[in-house]
Amino acid sequence: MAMDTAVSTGGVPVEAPSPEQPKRLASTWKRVIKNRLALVGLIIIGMQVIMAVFAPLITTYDPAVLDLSVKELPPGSKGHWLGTDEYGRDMWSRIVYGARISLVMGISSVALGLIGGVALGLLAGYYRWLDGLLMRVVDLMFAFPGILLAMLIIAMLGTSLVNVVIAISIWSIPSCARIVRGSVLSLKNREFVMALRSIGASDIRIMLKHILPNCTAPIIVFGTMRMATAILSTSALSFLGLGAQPPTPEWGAMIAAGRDFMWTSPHMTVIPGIAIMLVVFAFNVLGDGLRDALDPNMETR
Amino acid sequence: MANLIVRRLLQLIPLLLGISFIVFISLHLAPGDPASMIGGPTATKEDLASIREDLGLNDSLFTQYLRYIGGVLQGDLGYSYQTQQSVTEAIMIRFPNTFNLSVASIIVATVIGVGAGIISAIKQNTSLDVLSTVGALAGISIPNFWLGSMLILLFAVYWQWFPVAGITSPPWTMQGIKELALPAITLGTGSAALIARMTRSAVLEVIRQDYIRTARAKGVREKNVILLHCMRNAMIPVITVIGLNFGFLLGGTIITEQVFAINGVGRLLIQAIAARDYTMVQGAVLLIATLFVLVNLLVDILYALVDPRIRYE
Repeated sequence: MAMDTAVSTGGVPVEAPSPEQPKRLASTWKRVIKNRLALVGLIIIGMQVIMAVFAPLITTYDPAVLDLSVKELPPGSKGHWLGTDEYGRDMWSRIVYGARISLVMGISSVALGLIGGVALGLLAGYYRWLDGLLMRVVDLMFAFPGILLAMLIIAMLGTSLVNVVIAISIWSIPSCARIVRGSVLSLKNREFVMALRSIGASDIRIMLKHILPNCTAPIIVFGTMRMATAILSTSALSFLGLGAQPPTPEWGAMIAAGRDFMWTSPHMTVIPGIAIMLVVFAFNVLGDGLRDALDPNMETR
Repeated sequence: MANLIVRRLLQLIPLLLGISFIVFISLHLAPGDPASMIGGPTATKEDLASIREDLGLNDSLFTQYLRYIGGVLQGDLGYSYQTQQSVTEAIMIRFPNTFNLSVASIIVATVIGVGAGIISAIKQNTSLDVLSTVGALAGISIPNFWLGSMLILLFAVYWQWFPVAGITSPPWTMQGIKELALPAITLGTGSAALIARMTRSAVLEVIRQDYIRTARAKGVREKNVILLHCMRNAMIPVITVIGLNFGFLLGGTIITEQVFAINGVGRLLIQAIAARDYTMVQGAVLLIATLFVLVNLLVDILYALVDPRIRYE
């Protein structure tokens, strides 16, 4: 089906190796910057990274310290510009430390998922005899809609943030494997691979040093988009009580806790929601922008 | 055509067996002993041994799996470790709520998504198009459990137009529609965004083709060009996206049911995970995954019906 091929490489055509890598990187960067939405995404992500790295420096309160004398303050209060929650914990501190959690959760689950997906995809694409088996396994994993596979894994392992990382990374493997496999299939019969084989290069060497570098574009686009999914799913699972447990300042868990106070202190629910939305939006538009920028046909259109 | 349907049905068998095996084995590997869960803290060693014997936990794994599958094929999903309730019964009581919610959300998603997509395409590069494109991106990015909470806050608590939570009336009554409205919008927003994007690009692709120019040249009114000539072909990929999203919505109900305290299969699943009620988790996951696969199969077949080119591949 036509749709399958588009999905399999993430819409990015695979290119032959080129000696002008640095130049291409620079032009890709320029194209991403020119895309206004992607630039907005990049700025939001930059802000999240700064918040995550410098959390202790830009907050004055410990995110877990209770102070019942200042509970449920509205935003704009003195000393607590985003207000406080039901235990008097500073909302700004909790949002900032939440940025750290969401970033770490996103990066670790996407990185693990990419390692698994790339390995499976390389093997399935390169070895015909493995392809059938591995792709049936991938099909099987696709039979669980959305977050259900992650939930099944958490049901098995128990509820914690570490298990959420494991669940989300396993859930990322099938889509990543399909994308990489598609790229490998279109690359492995190219002349440069045949040439390598004729001079006696080992399979591992061909796969890792020559084929993999040529699949980076679709992998980067997938990884960026997947950050959005991973961050959204982390907060959703925590909201359901299957991830971060109180008093961890995780955005989804904060929304779940804030719901009981929605009538009196709506800011406890509204603020973490906006934080999640901004970050997920940022990774989505950056992913879109990267896909357009890495597609060499875009300029001629 | 019959050939294609038979082939797809045959492919379904190993897939369903695989799903049931994954569900069975993953919860078999989960920590905790079912016998002590049923027996409770007061059970003696002999009690536990006899419970184990009753459940057949001493048989080989393969025998246990075969027995499970045998039960599933007869509609028996086992009994809850916690409440001793029949899993099939517990799911069947809740399934109508989950089904109604998915159908209502796919209607919401289709109406908003196709509408916004068409407008965005025929007004390409205007502010309306930008608004709809950014709106679609926001729709994909918004956490639906948060959107649901916000809708409750605004429309159920502040303005009191809709009930706060729960579904008590059948969906064909006014009260039932009111109860379904907010959950359906919550669940349908993400899919609406995806459908809008697909509709926009499909319409843009078709609208540049020669036969559309011919239709315009012979004086067909613009409204008819879009709705009769263009949409007919543009709808093919859109139908696929709608179908696939219906499957995803079945999975998505899990979160929405929790937000609106709807007594559905998804809520049952979350409660079962929290209570480590493994047979219940097995049943709920098996049902949702099976429905998802069946819906996707149906979409495949419909796709072949709408687009004759597919049949010959």
